[in-house]
Amino acid sequence: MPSRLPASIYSPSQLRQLSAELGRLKSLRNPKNIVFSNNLLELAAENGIKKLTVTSTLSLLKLVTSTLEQSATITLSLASAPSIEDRDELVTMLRRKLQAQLLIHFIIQPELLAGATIRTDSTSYDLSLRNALFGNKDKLTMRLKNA
Amino acid sequence: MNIIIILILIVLSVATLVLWIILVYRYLGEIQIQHKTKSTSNNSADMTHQAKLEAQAKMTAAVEKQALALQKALLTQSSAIEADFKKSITTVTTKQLDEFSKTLAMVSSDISQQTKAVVESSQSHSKLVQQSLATDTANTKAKVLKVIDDNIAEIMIGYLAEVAGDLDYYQQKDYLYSAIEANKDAIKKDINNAV
Repeated sequence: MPSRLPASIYSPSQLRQLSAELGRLKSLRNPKNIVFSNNLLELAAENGIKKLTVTSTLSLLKLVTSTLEQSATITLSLASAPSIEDRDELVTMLRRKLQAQLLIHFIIQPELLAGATIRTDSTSYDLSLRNALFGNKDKLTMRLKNA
Repeated sequence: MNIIIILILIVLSVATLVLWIILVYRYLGEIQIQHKTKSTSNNSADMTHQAKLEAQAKMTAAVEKQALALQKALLTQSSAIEADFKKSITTVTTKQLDEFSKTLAMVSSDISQQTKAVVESSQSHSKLVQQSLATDTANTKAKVLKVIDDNIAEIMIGYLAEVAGDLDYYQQKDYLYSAIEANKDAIKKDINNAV
């Protein structure tokens, strides 16, 4: 069974919550009359699981655990908060272009003006309008001095 | 002062005249006494009358003579006093004018020197102020430029954010996607290396 994360589940904290929830479910021998979280339902649906059984719960727990252990996490800073739809689209796009199980930690930083900064474990990529405008502020200062 | 001297001389002249008059009257009195003595000594009435007339004539002549002399002396003294007074006034006035002129020249010279000193001091101070102002202006300009240099990004970002308002995500979506697309290989490589 291919393991996939829905676009709505994108952050390590969400996966840790799912891991905790699945761990509780695993300990129950007869999981009935239990209210599942939306993230768990979406994760199950994304992986073709219609009913949470002991087997499927274990399968999802394994997926979540392996994702937490193996997937890369980036910190994505945006100048403004996207809508849920735009966020999901962005997550999908990033996973398609960078890594299938990519986890993303979102931060909102209005001072970026537009664009984003992407920070991996070792590198920071400043793709913001702020950096585009003032990445070479010496030229701007020189223009002011000449003026 | 000269007027007082003139008054004193006039008073002395009048006193001299009065003294002469008193002496004349005394002289006449002696004559009368002699005449009475002679009368009582059996002098005739004609002789008495004749002596009286002679005495009167002498007295009149003496008084007139003295009066003329006194008048002449008084006129002479008055003219001399007037001349002396004029001379004195002229001397004093000329001397005072000379002193005043000298003093005025000294004061004028002092004022001129002081004015010149003030002007020179003012010019010197003006130059210092101009130099100080130029230095201050240059320093202020340097400080402002340093502030701009240090804070240009924050200043402009604040300005742009204020002017442009909030750019919502949708407006910058294309820019963001283009930027990610342009850097995806490097980011992907970096992620894979980390994993």
